[in-house]
Amino acid sequence: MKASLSLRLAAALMGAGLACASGTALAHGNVTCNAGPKENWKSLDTLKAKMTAEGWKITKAHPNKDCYEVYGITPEGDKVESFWHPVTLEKRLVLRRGQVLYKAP
Amino acid sequence: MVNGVGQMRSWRRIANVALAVLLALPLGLMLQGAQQEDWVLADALPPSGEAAALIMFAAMAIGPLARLAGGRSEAVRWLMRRRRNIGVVAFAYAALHLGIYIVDMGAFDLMLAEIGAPGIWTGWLALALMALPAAASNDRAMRFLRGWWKPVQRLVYPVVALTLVHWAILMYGWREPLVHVAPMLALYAAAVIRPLFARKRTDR
Repeated sequence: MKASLSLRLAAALMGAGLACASGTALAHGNVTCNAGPKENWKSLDTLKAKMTAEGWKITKAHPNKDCYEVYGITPEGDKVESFWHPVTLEKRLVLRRGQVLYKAP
Repeated sequence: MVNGVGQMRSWRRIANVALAVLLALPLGLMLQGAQQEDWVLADALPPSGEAAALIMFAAMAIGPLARLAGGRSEAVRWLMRRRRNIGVVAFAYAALHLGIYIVDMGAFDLMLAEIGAPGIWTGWLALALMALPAAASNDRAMRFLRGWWKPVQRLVYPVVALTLVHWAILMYGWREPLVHVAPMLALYAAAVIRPLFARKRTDR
């Protein structure tokens, strides 16, 4: 394999990766919940209890900008990163390794 | 003269220790991060992957740096002799990254469920391709592979492409991977462009 061939392979793989990645959520940083003042937020423990009751297995949870970000396994068995509204505790966005599994309307 | 050789030896010894410390630093930082109260294993995934990529980019940057320096600098010659080891350390971090991923996932079916995600298959393929030059980074493999040794080493180019896509998808943006790869790409570009200008000057 000459240098040009390995570079062509690099370009092809990058192209394939980019083509497949076109539907992924590169805009994760843009997720917002418009949750308002923090004194109105429900506690993280309340969210965890709600999620556990729904069948989620939680690995880690913390506030991220104006949302709650939770890492864990969904009731369907997918390992995901999810964003929740801190006041309504509604699910806003669920991502699996960059792929959007759920996005609130 | 003897004093000069002695100074050179101590310079190299210090440089060797500094390089070893530098290469071990990401591991140290990961272990330090693990002491935090809310630490989970998945927190070690980004730093281990970043260390693998950065060290690989650094190893790849040595070649064009040597071409630009013309091989005269003792420091560059020293770096050239350590390039292979630096590349192997990059692979070791990549293997650690995979190990952390496997343990964190904890179940084969969970891994299988997401293997088709672009952020994941790019990582698997990058590591599989990286394993070949890493395995060939010794004198015995060099003698065995002969003319094939260099093509095997050049598999790092597709590995870089896959790494950038993997990184951009999983860390949700291009800025971070591109900033990290830019110095290496700039050195490659400079090493390609400089001889063209040198040729033009001699043509006149």
